[in-house]
Amino acid sequence: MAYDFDIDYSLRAAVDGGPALSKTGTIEVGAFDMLKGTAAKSGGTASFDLTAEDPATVEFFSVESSNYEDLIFAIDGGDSITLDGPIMLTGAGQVSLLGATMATIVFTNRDTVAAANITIRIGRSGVYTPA
Amino acid sequence: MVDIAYTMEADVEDGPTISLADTLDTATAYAYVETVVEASGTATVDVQPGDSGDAILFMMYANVYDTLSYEVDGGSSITFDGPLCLVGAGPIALLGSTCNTIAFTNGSADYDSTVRILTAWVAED
Repeated sequence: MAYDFDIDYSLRAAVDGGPALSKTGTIEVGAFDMLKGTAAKSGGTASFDLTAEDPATVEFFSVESSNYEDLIFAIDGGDSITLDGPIMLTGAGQVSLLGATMATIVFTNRDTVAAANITIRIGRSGVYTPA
Repeated sequence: MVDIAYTMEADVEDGPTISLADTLDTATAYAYVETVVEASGTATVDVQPGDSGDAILFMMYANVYDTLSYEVDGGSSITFDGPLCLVGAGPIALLGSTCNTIAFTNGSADYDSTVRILTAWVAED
C-alpha cells in the first residue's frame, strides 16, 4: 500500500549529569487527524470520535493537555487512565497499548481550578474497510 | 531529585509540527539499560523495582524493529515496532500495574537489535 506522507519524529530525554537518549525516525501514513476539545473544570468531560479504522492501522498517536492536574481518560468504556503527562506512541504495536479498539475517547477533568484543553493527533492508513 | 528534560517532536509533512517538552524534577532514581537482543534470541532486563505508579518517565527504543516484541512482567506480547516515550505514572501504567521486568524476543533471524531504556521513578515511600 502506498502511503501519502511522512511523519518525522524525534524523542529525546536527558538526565542532568547522566545519560542522554535520542531517537529519530520517519513513519509513513495515509491520513492524519487532529482533534481538539476542552474539558471544563470540576468534572467537565470532552469526548472524541477517534477513528473507524482497525487500530492495527494506526501508526501514530499523541495526546497532550494544557492541564494535567487531575485528568483521566477512558477509551471505548475501558478502564480510566490518569493523564498526568503527554503521550506519543509510534508504531501500531505501541498504539495497541491503548486497547484493542479506538472508537471513542472520553476525558474527565476533575481539577477544580482550570479547564483542560486537549489535543489528539492520529496518523493512520486512511483506509477503512467496513466489517 | 534528578532533573530529566524530555522532548517529543513530530513533524507532519504538509501538516503541523508537534513539540512536547518539559523538565521533570520529581524523580529520585533512574535506570538506563542497554541490551542486545540477538537474532532469533531473547533478552530480559530489569527496569525499575516499584509499581508503575512510582514511575514518571519511560522511554524505550531499538535500532532495528524487524519482528521484535516484548512482554512486561509476563503479560501479553506487544509488537515493538517503534519508539515509546511515556511521561507520568498514568500513561506508564499502560504497560501494566508494574513495570519491573521486560522480556524481549527478536523474531528476526538476520538482525540483532539493540534496545535502550530510560526509566525514572520516585524511589521513596
